[in-house]
Amino acid sequence: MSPETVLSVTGLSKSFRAVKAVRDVSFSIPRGKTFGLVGESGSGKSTTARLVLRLVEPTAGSISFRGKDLAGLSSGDLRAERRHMQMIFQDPFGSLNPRMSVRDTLVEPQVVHGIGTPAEQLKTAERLLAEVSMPRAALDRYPHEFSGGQRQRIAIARALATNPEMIVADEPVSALDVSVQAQVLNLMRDLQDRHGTTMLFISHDLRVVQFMCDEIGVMYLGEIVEQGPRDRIYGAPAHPYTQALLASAPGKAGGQRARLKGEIPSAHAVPSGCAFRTRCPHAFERCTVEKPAMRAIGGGQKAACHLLDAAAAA
Amino acid sequence: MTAHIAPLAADPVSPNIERRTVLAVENLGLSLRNADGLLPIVTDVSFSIREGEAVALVGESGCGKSITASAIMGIAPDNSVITGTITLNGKVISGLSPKDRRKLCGRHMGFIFQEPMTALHPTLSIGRQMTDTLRHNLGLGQAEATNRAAELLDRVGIPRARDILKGYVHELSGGMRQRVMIALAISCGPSLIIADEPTTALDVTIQAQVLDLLDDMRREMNLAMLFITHDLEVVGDFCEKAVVMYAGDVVERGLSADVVQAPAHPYARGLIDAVPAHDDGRTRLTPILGTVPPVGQWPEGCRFAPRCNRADDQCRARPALERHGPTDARCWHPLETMA
Amino acid sequence: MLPYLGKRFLLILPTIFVPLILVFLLLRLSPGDPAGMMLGDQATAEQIAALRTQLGLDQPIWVQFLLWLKGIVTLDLGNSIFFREPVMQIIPRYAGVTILLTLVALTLAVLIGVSMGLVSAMNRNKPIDRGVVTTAVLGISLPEFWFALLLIFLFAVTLRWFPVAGYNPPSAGIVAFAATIFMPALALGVRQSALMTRMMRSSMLDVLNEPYITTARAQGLPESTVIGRYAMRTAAMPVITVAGLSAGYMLGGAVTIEIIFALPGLGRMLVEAVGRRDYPLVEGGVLTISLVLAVLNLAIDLVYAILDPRIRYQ
Repeated sequence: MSPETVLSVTGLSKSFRAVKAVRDVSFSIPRGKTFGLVGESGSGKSTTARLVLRLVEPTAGSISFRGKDLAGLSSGDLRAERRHMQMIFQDPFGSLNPRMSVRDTLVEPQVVHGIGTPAEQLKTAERLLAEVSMPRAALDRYPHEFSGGQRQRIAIARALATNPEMIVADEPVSALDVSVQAQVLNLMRDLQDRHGTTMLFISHDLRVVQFMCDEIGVMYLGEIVEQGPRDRIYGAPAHPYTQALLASAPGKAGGQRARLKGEIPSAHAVPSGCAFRTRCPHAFERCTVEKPAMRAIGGGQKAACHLLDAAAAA
Repeated sequence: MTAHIAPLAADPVSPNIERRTVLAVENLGLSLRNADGLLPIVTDVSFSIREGEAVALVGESGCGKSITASAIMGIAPDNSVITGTITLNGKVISGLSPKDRRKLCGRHMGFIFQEPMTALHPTLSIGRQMTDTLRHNLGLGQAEATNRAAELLDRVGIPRARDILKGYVHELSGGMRQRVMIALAISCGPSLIIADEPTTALDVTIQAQVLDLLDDMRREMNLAMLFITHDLEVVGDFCEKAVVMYAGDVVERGLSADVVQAPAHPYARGLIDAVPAHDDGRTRLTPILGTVPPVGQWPEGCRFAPRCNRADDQCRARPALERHGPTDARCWHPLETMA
Repeated sequence: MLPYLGKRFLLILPTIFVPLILVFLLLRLSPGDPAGMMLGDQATAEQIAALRTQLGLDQPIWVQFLLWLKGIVTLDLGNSIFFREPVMQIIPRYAGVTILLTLVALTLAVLIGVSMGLVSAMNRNKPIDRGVVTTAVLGISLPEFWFALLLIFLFAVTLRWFPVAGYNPPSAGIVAFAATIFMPALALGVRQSALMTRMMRSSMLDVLNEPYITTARAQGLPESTVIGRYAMRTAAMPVITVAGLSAGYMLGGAVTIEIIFALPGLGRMLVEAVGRRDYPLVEGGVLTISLVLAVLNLAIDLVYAILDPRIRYQ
C-alpha cells in the first residue's frame, strides 16, 4: 500500500442472514481525494459506508485505514481511530442531538477524544462555525432553530471538530432543496481543499457524484460493477448498468433514452452469474452461468462484464 | 449548459390545430385560517393547460406548488380560503359546493401522488381500491369493474394483473406501486391528470420508466397534465410549458424550452445554475444565497429580492407577471435573453 | 392465514396456565386451613386430619400439583369442598352470567366509544368535540361502583325503569333479561367506552391525515365511503386492541358489579370461594376466566388478521 493511500478496502462483504447486502467490494482512496459510491436503493452503498466505519461488522474482507487494519482493532483502539474518521448523514435533524446546543455539539467530539483544553475546544468550535459560514450567535442555539441546510452545515462542522483525515458522507444533500444543496456542496469542496480531507461520498444522484468525486464506483446489488476516474465513468461508461444509469438521468438524452426493464431484484435472491443480467439489454447465455470478473480497461477504469472480454478478443 | 429538450414534434396534436383548454387557473389565491387570522400560502397563480399538453409547476419545498394542486382538485385543507377562478373544460368549478367538486374528482381529474406506498390504502386490496372508484364513478357492476381494473393494470405495464388485483400495496415494488397509482388515476377517463412529484421517490432507472409511461398515457388519452416537480431537468424533458413558483407566487411562466434555457427571472436562473450539470466540469456551483422564506415571513414587494443579486430599491414594490422576451416573469430587473 | 392462527393458538397456552399455577401456589402457600374452616370451631384435630387426607392436602406440594394437572387435562376439577359437588357442574351456573355481562358491556362500550369517537373526530375542535372529550375524561375518572350506584338511583329508584338488583337469565325472555343486565353492563362498560372514545378519536384524526385518504377523496369517492371504509378500516385497529384489553379488565372487574347488582356470577362466586378456602372451586373459576380471556384474544387476533393483510405474513 502506498503511503499516500488513506483508506483501502479489500474483499469487503456483509451478509444479514440470507441477505447478501455487500459482496466482495474493493477500492482505495488516496489522500485528499474523494471516492464516490453511486447506485440505486438496495445497491449496498450505505451498508458499505457503515462497514468502512465499522458501525457494522463485516462478514469478510479487510479495511485498512491509515495503514492499520480496522477489522483487527480492539473496541478501545477503534474508538481512538474514529477521531480520524467522521461521518455526515443524510438527515441532519436525526443526526444532531436536539437537546444539545450547537456549542455542545461542536465541543463534545473534542472532549470525547481528549483534544485541547476547554478554552481551546471552545475556540475550535467558534472557528468551525465560521468555516461553515454560520454566525457566532448560533453557538447557543439548538438544532430545531435552524433550517435543513443550516443543520447540515452544523453537522459538517461537527465532523471537522476532531480534524479527521477522512469523512464518510452518506447522501449528505439528498434531503435539501436544490438551491441549498449547491451551498452545501460548495462548502464541502472548499473545506476539503482547505484541510486536505479524504472523502468517501455516497449518493444516488449522478449529478452530485460527478460534481464531488475524483473516482467513482458504481454499485449494483451489493457489488461494484464499474470503477474508475470520473471523466472515464461519465465520458466512456463500459458497463451496461452504468450506461443505463446515465441514460436514465433526466435532462441527459432527451426523448430517446435507453430504458432498463424491470427493477433491482431482492438481495434475498441474487441472480446467478452476473447479477445484472435480468435487466441487461445485452445479456447472453454466459451471463447466466458465469460471474464476470473485474477487468481493467485502461485509464484506471475497470468493469465486470462479459461483453468486455468479447471486445478485447475481437 | 446543454439542456436537451424533448422534441415536441412527436406530439399527436399539430400546433396548427386549436387545442381545447382543459384547465384554466386565474389569480388563484389560498390562505389558511388559523387563530391569528389568515395566513397566505399562495397568491395570484395563473396558468392554463390544453388537451394533450403537459405543464410543469416547478419550485422548491414550501413554494406552494402542492397546495395549488390540492386547491384545483378541491381537496385543500378545511380551513383554506380560496380566491380566484378555476375553470375545467369551460365550466367554472371554483364556486361549486364541496360535494359537487368531489363529483369531478376521478371522473374528470385524476391525481398521482409522490409516495405511492402511503397514497394507496395499506389494508384494502389493490383490486378493491380500483373497483370502488370504477363502480362509484362509472356505475359499473363488480365483475365489470374487476375486468376493467385488470385491463388498466395491463395497460400501465403490470404483468399478472389478475393476481396483483388480489394483492396489497406492501407486496409491490416502488415502480409497480406508482404504476398502480397511475392506473387508478386514469381509470375513469379524466381529461386532467395532476401528478405531484410522481417520480421523486423512485430510483433513476425506475423514474425514467414511469416518466415514459406518463408520457404515453398523455399522448394516448390526449390528457392535460399538471406535473409538479422540483427538478427543472425533468421539466425540460417532459413538459411543454413550465410555471415556476417561489414563495406562493408564480415568478416565471412560458414554454419549458425557454424557461430552462433562457429564463428571465433570476430565481429560475438560480435554480438551473444550482444543479450540478452533466459534463460541464465546473469546480464550484452557483448557489442561491440564503433560504426560502417560510410561509408568513415573506418580504414585502418582490419576495425573492433578499436573495437576489440584482435587487435594488425598486424591488420593494411588488412586480407584476409580465412578458419579458419569450417568457412571462414577475421581476423588475429581468435577465436579458439571448434572443 | 392458517399458520398465523396456529401460532397465535400456541401462544395462548401460557396465558391460560401461568395464572393457574400462580393461583395454585398462592392458595396453598397462604395461611388458613380449608379443612379447619369447613369443619368449624368445634372440630377435633383428628377430624381435621382425616379431612386433609381425604382432600389430599397432606401430600407434598408437587404431588398435589401433578394431581391437579392431571385433573385439568382430564377435565376433572374435583369436588367443591363447600358445595360437595363436582366443580365442573358448579362453574357453568355462574360463568354464563359473567360472560353475558362482559359481552353486553363490551358491546355497549364499543358502540358508545366508536360512535362518540367518530362524532368527535368529524367535528374536531367544535363544541360537540369538546363536549365529548370532556365527558370522556369524566368517564375515565369515575369508578364503576360509583357509576353503578348513580344508575340505580336514577333508573331504578327515581324512574323505576329497571329493577334495583337481581338477575333473569335469557331463558326467562329477552325483555326480562335485558331489564336486569342493562344497568350492570352499562356500569361495567362506561369507563371502557370512555377509553375507546378517546382512542377512536385520536386514531381517526391520525388516519384522516394519511395520504391514502386524500387519494380516496381525489378518486371522487363520497365522504361516507372514505370514512366508513377507507378510514375506519385502519382507524379501528387500535380500538380493537383496546377492546381486547377492556374485555380482560371487565371480566376481572365484574366482581364489584355482580355484588352491587346481586348477580349470581363467577366473580361473586370466586370471592366467596376464596373466603372459604374452597381450593378446587377457586381454581376452576380462574381456569374458566383464563380460558374465556384466551378465546377472546384469539378472536381479536383473528379480526386483526382479517382487517390487516400485513399481519398474516409476519
